[in-house]
Amino acid sequence: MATAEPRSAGASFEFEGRTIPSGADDTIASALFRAGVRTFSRSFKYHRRRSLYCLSGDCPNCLMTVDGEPAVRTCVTPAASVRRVARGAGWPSADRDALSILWRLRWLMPVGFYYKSMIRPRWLFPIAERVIRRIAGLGPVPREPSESAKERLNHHPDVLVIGGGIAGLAAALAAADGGERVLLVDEGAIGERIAPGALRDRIGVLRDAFARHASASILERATAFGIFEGPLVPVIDADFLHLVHPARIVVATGAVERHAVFPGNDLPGVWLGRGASRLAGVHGLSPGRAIVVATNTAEGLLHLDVLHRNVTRQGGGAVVAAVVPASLASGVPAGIEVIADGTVVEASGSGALRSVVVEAAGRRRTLRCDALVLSLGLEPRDGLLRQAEFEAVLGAGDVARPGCSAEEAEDDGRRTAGAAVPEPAAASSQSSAPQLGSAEGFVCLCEDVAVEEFEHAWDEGYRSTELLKRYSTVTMGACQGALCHAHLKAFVRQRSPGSWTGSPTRARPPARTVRLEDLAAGARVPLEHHTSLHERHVASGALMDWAGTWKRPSNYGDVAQEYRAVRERVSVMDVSTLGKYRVAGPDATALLEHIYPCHVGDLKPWRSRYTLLLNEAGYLLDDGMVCKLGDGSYYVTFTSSGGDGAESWLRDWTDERGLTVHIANVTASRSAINVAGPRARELLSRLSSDACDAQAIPYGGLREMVVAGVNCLVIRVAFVGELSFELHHASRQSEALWDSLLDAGREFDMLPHGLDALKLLRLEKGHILIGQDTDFDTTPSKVGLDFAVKMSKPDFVGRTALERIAKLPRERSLLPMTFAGARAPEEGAQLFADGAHVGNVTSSRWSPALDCGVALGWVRHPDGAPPSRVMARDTIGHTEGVVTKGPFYDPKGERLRA
Amino acid sequence: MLSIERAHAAVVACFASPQALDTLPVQPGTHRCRVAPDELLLVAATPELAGVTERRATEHFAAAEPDALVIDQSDGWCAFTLRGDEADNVFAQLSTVPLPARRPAFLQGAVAGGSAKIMACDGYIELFVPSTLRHHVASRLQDVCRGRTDGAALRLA
Repeated sequence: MATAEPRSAGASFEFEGRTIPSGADDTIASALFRAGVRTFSRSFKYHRRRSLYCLSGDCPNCLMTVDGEPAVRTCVTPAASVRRVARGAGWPSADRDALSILWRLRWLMPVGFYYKSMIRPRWLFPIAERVIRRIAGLGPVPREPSESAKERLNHHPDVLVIGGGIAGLAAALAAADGGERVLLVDEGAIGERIAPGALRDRIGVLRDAFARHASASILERATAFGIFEGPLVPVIDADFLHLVHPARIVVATGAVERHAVFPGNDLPGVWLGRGASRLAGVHGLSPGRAIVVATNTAEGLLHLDVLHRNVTRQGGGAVVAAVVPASLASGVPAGIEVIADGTVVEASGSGALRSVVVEAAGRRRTLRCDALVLSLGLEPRDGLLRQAEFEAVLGAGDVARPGCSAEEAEDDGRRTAGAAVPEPAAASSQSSAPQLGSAEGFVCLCEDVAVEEFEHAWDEGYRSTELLKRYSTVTMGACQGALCHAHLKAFVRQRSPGSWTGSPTRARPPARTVRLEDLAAGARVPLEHHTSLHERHVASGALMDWAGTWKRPSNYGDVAQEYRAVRERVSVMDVSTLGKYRVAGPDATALLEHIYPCHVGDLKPWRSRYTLLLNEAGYLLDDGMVCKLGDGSYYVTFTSSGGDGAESWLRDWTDERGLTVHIANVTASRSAINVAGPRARELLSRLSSDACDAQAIPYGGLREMVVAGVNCLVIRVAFVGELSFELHHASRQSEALWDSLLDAGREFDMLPHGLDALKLLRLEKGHILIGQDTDFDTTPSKVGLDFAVKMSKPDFVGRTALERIAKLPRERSLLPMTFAGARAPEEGAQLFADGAHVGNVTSSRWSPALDCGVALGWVRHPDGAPPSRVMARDTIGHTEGVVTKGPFYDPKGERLRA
Repeated sequence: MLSIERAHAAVVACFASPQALDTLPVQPGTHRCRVAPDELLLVAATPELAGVTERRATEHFAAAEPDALVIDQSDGWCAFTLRGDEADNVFAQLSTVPLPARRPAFLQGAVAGGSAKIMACDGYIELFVPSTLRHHVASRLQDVCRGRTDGAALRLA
């Protein structure tokens, strides 16, 4: 049989210093096998030599590093576009791996040994962990960011069919014939893994008929790796992470041949029947020179026939013996020795198969061979089907009825396409449990779990499928139980025949290996909000930084100057990020009275009030302003990152209480600029003929004004502790207004200020930042905001809880502190009082106005009064602080009331 | 060929009882997009139509329901028009919202991670996203069009 050259001209790739030619139909594995490679990988734990086995992507034996990506299934990966292939593990090489000694030392590493041995001495475990990580595994994971940037692509078919075999195609065609939109996905190219013949021809006919439908879509070389609630099925191919949202799903993923367990069952040269048949029939290669076939199925006889014809015809070897039930003996081609009713009990060889021991009629016999082909029944490839617990997911063909004929599979597919509910799977003719051989036989090739390790775990008390699975890690490797799940069930059933319920373990995504970067396809770009002044800030050289989902100016180059502009002259800041809402309707006041702890109904038109937003537990959600407009409706604001949540809060309570309220989110359509500083009023006067004196807009007031030709709602605010006006206006006019303010502000040596200056300005006033200075359980009284809560109101959200909390001793508070040393403590610094840890700093800055450090921090005081002095410890050192009463700056508020 | 461009439209939001919204007359060429039983977006082809659309709606509600709220939200939305055979495909890369075969249709859902309103029309898709996300969505549209062998005309500024 030809083994030196591919059957058709193709490309080549580099394999550990060699150039490997490949044909157009070659997979990486077939090209390597043709080139004489027999060691494809080293096993996960014991470094045993592994070679091709299933050739269907179900076992871990062919996992190799391809173009830098580890654990690629080379038996199903086309060789055409590959550049470099290497084996992932083995020292000094995969061919001659010194670590294979671990198999002989396995008595030192029984199942679960790491749970027991990696405890003491403690210093040893990190070292041992590093060593184990280097020894075990499938190759190094690349640390460089990938060049690929896959996007997501959503699909909404009526029917998703997973698997392009005979059952899947029949289901897809039937659904398309019925007028449904159908998406068919297959891991490979449809039909490519089937040897030429009637079945492949039929697949071609069905495929062509399906593809002719306008409502039909086919994704080839695309792997569905999970079924999530929805249902949602993620499918990966070379270009996209496809997110499929079908109304119904037909799983037609077929079956995998039963893995047989006996000593030496993992030796290179042991094959599953479909794999060997595919190697010979599709790739024109012989699995060995002397081949023994062991089968008990009609399908196995077909594989025997394919091997016999191809291998014999091309002179690459011969099938020397067939181990079959007596009932199938007549189907064995002439010239092949028949061993009737025999069982393979052992395979042996040093690094590769040299002989098998067959037991028949009570006698054991050794057969010399270099290939053992096993076709002993089928296990459903149901890793996806077992993830789905929805009626809309049905199995068709082998996955539901392992061992059904091609005709039965086609009928089944057709029937399934129209079925509304799953039919119970017919009992398979091959549904008997797999036999577990002697102790050294490998149950799990992925994790190197032998029968003896099952026994060990069982003896330790892990006596259910779920426990045994977790303790031994069987079914948790790359194949996700495709080969070993049936054996796990069989073992438990054998050991506890009376109590086992028969339920399989739950399958979870991913059913196939998937790259983490592929899971992040299309999600690598965070949501980024810009205000309408974003370009202006960038043009000014502002340092833009994240603030929640917004990009905002941290500063414009000189925080100290920006701070001084606010305190001494006038400054502007873009505060368009505030959550802004219009609230109107007959029940608007009732809603706001209910959700705010302050009075709302007594607000006169053109007056505003600082408000808190509490949840039912009395904890702070957000804060902002409520402004009453001239028409009786309200304009309310929330924090930049709290706006969306506050809107949901408003809408939920509107529904909950059956109110008629109109809530309009105007955050994007209305921008806002804060004009702050002792000369703010002068600046506005330069740009407006409308009055803005203390009578026209008193503290706590608002009015409509035309500023620089722009209609504005002007609100007096207090956050930075100076005379301040927020100019709310249509976003399209924001740049013009900003420019006019800056132009007019030159007279006052005005500068815009960013978040860095703002944080210092508000801290000097002792104003908290929700989120930074608050925790999930912060009540108003803990942060000194009792003034914003009117317990005299009969009802508001959180009132009952606050009433109850008020009766309890307060154990901690957010307190203002000053630090007289040369610096302020870092935010996050730990606070100590009398040597005991009492809390932490949440906000801290050096205050130019006070010439000392100022901070807010949580301080525990379970015995009543808080400590008067604290010690802050941070990454630099210690700082002595004094607990004071806020605010630090302008405590009487005379400046902001100017 | 795929073409994606910024569009400019008038968007007027009306909040009123379902009955009052149902009886609101609109000018020819103005789309009625029912966001919720008590919320309606009126979308007109050019921003200049915002004033007249808002005024007529206000006049209607002055009689039909004085507590109604009418707001020109044109500044709050940024529109992109996706045209060509690949328009549905580009949309499907940025949104899980299914596009119906029957057009025209008004849809709501997340696009590129942000909340959006979608008008799926014959031959094109009109995508409205919050104006605060205009750069983000434009950037994502460019991302998904990058590398297209058939090319794409992008006018996103």
